[in-house]
Amino acid sequence: MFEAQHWQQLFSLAAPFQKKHLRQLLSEGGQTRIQQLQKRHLGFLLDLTRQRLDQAVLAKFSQLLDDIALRTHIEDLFQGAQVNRSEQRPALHTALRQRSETPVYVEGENILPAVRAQWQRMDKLIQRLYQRQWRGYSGRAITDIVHMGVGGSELGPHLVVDALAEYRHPACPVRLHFVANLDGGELQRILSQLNPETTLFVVVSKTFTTLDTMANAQMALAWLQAASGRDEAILKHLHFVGVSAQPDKMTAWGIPPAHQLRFWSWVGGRYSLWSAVGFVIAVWLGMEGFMALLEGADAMDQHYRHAPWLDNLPVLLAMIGVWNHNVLDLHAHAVLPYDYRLQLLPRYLMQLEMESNGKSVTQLGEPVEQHTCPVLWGELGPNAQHAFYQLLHQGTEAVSCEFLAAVKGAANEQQQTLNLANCLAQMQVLASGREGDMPAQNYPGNHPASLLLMDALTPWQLGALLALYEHKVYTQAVIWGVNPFDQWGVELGKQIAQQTLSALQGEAQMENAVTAALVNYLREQQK
Amino acid sequence: MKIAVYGDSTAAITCAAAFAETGNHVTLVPFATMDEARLLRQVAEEPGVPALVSAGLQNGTFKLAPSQKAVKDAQVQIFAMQAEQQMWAEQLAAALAESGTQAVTLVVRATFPVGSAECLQACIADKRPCALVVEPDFLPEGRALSAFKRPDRILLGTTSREAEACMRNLYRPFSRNRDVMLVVSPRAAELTKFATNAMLATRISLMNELAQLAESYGVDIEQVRQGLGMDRRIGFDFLYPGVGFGGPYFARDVQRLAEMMRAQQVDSGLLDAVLEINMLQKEVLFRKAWVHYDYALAGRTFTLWGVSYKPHTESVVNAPSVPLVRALLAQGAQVKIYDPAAMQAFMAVLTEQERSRVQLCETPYQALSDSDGLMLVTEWKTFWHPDWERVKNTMRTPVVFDGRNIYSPEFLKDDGFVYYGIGR
Repeated sequence: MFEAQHWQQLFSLAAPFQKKHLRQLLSEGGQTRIQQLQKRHLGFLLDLTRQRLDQAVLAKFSQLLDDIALRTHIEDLFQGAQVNRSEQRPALHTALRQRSETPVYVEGENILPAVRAQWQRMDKLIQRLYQRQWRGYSGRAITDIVHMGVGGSELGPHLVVDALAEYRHPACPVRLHFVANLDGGELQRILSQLNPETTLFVVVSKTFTTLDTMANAQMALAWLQAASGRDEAILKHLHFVGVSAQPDKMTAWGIPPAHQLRFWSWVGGRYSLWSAVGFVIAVWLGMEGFMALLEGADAMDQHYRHAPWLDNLPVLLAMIGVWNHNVLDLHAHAVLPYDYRLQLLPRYLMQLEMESNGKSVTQLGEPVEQHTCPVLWGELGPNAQHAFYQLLHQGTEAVSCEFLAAVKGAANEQQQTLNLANCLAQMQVLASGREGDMPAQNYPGNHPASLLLMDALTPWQLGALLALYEHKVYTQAVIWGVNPFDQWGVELGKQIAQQTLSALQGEAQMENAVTAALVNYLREQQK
Repeated sequence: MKIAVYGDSTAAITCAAAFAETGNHVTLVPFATMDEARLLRQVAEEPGVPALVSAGLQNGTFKLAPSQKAVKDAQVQIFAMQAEQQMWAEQLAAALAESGTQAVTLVVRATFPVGSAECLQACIADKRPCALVVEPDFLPEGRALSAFKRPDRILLGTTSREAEACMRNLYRPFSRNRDVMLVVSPRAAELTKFATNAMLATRISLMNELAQLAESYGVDIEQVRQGLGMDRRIGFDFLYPGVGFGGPYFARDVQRLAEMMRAQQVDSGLLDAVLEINMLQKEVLFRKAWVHYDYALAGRTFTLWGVSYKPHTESVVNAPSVPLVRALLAQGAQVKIYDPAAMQAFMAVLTEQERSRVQLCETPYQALSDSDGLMLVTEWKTFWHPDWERVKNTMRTPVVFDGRNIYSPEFLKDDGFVYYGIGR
C-alpha cells in the first residue's frame, strides 16, 4: 500500500493541475497529448486526454506502483495467495476463466480440474434444456428460468444476459428472469406471468442459507405446491437447480445431486459470474458463448499481468481514479454508458467498487489515512442527460466521469450516430465549458472524464470489460491497502434484522429504544 | 385431350391415372426420375390406383416421362407438385411460355401460397394464350381414387369461361350424378385449400383441449364427442381427440397459413394456439407415463403400437411418435416398437444414439416383452382387438396408454390393466 512518502510524492505532482484549466491543458498538449493519452488494447480505446494530468504524472505515478511492488501483488492474486486476509483465503476468480493449463493451487490442490468439471455439468444441464427434455411436474418441458441470488450472484449474470440479449443461442428455448429482492413483491410480479408447470428456479447462494434467497426459494416452492398439489420433495427434485459452495446444504434442502452446481469459498459473490453462478449466462449464450466471455476475461487477465503500467488498462483506470479522488479531491464518480445494452452496468459497478473498496481499515487492521472508494453512481448517459447532468455541468459538487460506448450499436446506424454524438459532445462540454451571456448560462468546465470505447459489444468484449473493472478495483485496493474481497460492513445489519424479526413477531424485545418504538408502531398498525 | 400432370405424390398419380382411364392421353412428369416399378410402389397403399396405372400404361393412355421437363404439346397442363417445388413450377411456366403459340389451360393443384397461381399464369400468358384454373387438391391419403371419382366438391378457381368449360368437360365422367362444381376466383380457391385444413386442425386442437378439461372433471370425452357430433351444425368428422395431427401436408399447410397471416400482418393468434396445442399433444402419452411412474422413467421399457402419422401409410413426417419416443429416451427409458409399415422410416429420423435404444419388433406381442406401458399411437386395424390375456402376460406392468381412444376403459380395467386414454 501507499505509505505517507508515496502520497507525498503523488501530492507533489498536483500543483500545476490544480491551477490549470483542462481547456488550457488540452490546447497546450495538442496532438502529442492525444497520442500519449489515448490507449488502444484488446478492442478498447481508452481516452484519458480529458483527465487533469499528463503523461509525466502517469509515469511518476507508475514508478510509485513499482515501489509498492504492484506486480508482486498481482501475482499473489493470480497464484492464490491469501489476498483476502480477514477471511484467510485467496480470491481466485481469475482461475475460473484461465485458459492455460498452468496449475493453480489452493491448499496444495490444483483447482483447475474442478473448475472444468463444473463446465461439463453445466453443459449437460443446458443440453437437456435445449433439447426441451427438462420436464416439470406435468411432463411439459421447461420454458422459463428464474435466477435467484443476492448481490453479485444476481447482478453479474443479470448484467451479462441483459447486455448480450442479442447473442441468445439459437437453440435456447427458455426465457430468463432475475430475482434478488428480499421483498417478495419482486418475485410475485414475475411469478404472475409464469406457468408453474414449465418454470425452473436456479437458486444461487454460497452458503445455501442466505436469508433473502432462501425466502424467495420457499415462496417459489409454495407457488409450485399451490398450483400442482404435488409433494414438496418432488417439486424440489424437478424444478430447482442449486448453485452453492455447500453441496451438503443443497442436498439437505432437497436439491438432487444431479441438479447441483458448485463454486468455492475462494470465489466472492461479486466476482462469481465466471463460475457456475453464471449458469443462466451459459443457458442464454450456449457454452460456446459463455466460453467466449471467459476468454475475453482471460485476455484481460494476461494483459493485466504482463502489460507495462502505462499501457495497462486496469492500472491506468486505477491511477486515474486515485488521482481524481485522493489528489484532486473529487469524491464522486459517475459511470455513464451510451449504450442501452449496458443499462445495468452502473448498478453492477456500484456493487463491485463500493462493496470491494468501501473500507476504512487496512488489510492489517489499521485505520486508513486517505480516502478509499469514492461514492459511485451512474445511469445510461442519454437518460442521465435529462436527470443529473445539470449537477455535473453547473453544480457545486465535483464529480469525475467515465463514459462508455461501442462503435457498433445494437440499434440502427443513424441512431447510434446520434448516440455517439451526444457522448462526445457531453465530454467536450464537461472538460472545456463555455462562457454564457448570463451567469446561469456559464459552463465552468474543467470536469475530468474518461472514455472507454469498444469496437463492438460481444461476449468476448464484455468479458474483457468486466475483468478490466475487477482489476482496476484490485489495483486501487493495493494502493489504499484495503481488502477488496471481504464485506464485513454488511454483516451487522443482517444480525440485527434477525432480532428485529423476532421482535416484530412478538417473540422478543428490542433494546434499542428507537427501534423498539418503531416495532411497537408497526405491530399496532398490523393488528 | 392431351394432358400433362407434374408431380410424383400419390395425389398427382391418382389424378393422372383417373384422367387416363376416361380416354385422355396423360403424361406424368415426376420431379425425380422414376421407373414404372417405383411408380407402382408409390401408390401401393392406395386402393384401386395401381390397377388403373397398370391398365393405362398397357393401353398407352398413361405415359411416364423422364423427370422435370415440360410436355410442350399438351393442351391441359396440371401442376400437382409438392408445395416445396414452387421453383420447379416457375421453371416449367417459363419453358411452356417459350414452346408454341397455341392456347393452353394451366391447372394448379399444388398448394402454393395465395397469389402464386396467377404469377405462373402471367409468366406463360406473356408469350401465348393461357387460361388459369386453380383446383385445390383435397384427396385424402388412403382413399384418393374414390374421392377423385366421387368428390364432395370440385372447386374451380378461374375467371375464364373457356377454362371452366374445359374442366367441366374433363370432369363430366366423375360428377354426372350431381353438379358438385363451384366456380370461384383463383385466389379464393387457393385460400379455401388452406382454410379447410386450418378449420379441421382447429377442431382437433379444440377437442384435445376439451379432453384435458374432461379428464379433470372425470368426464369421458367420448360421450361429449358423440353429443357434439349429433348436432348437425357440427357433425362427427374431425372430432377425435388423440395424440395430435401430423403428416406431410396437413400440419405443414396450417403452419404455412399462419406464416402467410403474419406476412400479411393479420393476427394469427388462433392458428398459433392450434399449432401450439398440437405440439404439446404429441407428448401427451409421455406426460401420462411421467406422472404415472412418479417422474422416474429410467430403466422402464415402453411399447409403441404404431409409429406412422396415421394408418395405411409408411410416413412418419410430423408423426407424434417421434417427439414421444424422444421424450421417453431422454428420461432414460427403453422403447420397443411395432408398426405394420413405418418402422424403417421411423428409424431413419432418429439419431444413431437414439436408434441404439429403440428395438424394432416383428409382431405386436414381441414388442410387449418386459414392457411397462403399451402406448397405442396409430390406430391400424390390427391393433383394435388384441388378445388381452396374452398382452397382460407378456408385459412387465400392465398399463395401457391409449392415444386414440380405441379401447374400452371399463373392459381393460376389469381385465386388470391400468388404463389411460385421452380425455377419459
